[in-house]
Amino acid sequence: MRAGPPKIIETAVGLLLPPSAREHVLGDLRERYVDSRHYLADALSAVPGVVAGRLLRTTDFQLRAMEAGLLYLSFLVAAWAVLGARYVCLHAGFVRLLGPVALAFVALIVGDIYDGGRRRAPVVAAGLGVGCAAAVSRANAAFPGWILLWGGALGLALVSTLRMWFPPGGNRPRGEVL
Amino acid sequence: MAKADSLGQFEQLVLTAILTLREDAYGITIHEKVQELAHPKSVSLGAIYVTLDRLEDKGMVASRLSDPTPERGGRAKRYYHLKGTGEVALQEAALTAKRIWDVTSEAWGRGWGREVRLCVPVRRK
Repeated sequence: MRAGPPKIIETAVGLLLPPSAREHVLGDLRERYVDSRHYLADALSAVPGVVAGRLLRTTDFQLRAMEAGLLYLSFLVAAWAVLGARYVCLHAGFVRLLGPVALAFVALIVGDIYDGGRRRAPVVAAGLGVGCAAAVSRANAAFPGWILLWGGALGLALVSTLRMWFPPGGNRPRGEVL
Repeated sequence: MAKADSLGQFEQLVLTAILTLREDAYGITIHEKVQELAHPKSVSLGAIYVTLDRLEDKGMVASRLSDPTPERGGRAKRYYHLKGTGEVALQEAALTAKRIWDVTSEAWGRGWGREVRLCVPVRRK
């Protein structure tokens, strides 16, 4: 039997690859396998390209802009409801809200790349975004946890609804899978 | 004839590789062929994958998964083939390249290509 890369390295590379490309890219890397060093070099060369390709495929700029707007609105409404308008206006709340929104937005993009067509990205994004934002918030005392929780829940509902109306990448050609 | 999207140089190389490899065009073979065509530039495997994805989104190539093979650890190959718009776009690019070749050969003389292959800057009056 032909030698292959160590299982742990192959598993780690597989986790970095989006599910839609995992099968054939891992196969290609295995076919080129000479030793672990070459395998890692090949993987480092291939993975960013595969992720970038997936990112371009799952990105609709108009939809992304709407999602970012809805996430901001969600956290703003939550902050407004929990802390009141005065706190949001006087303590640079509009700007500070950008932190959790940016985290949730990045999580949404990453979720889309690694979603594998299951369309769970809003759930993944809300979970990751709220989790990251809560950690940052705890460290900096930026926002009370309730705002992140309510903002994340509202963002999840709004982004999911938006995606029901405009499915991401729904009209793009896909490779036939036999 | 349908108007094809314009192609970047790297996309032309990838489409040419798929055209020449015919039934055997998948990640590794495409990478090797593109590396041969792009010589002496080196080409990363990731650049091939991102370009194949882009060409598939443009509707110029299509892909299918093969059966898994033992030498790939039981994993399938993703084979690519040209679609009509891809062929049209590649033909247009090849015709443009030929026109450039004809004009430059006339201006610089028939032997200039050999010097270019040796990476010597060509400057003729």
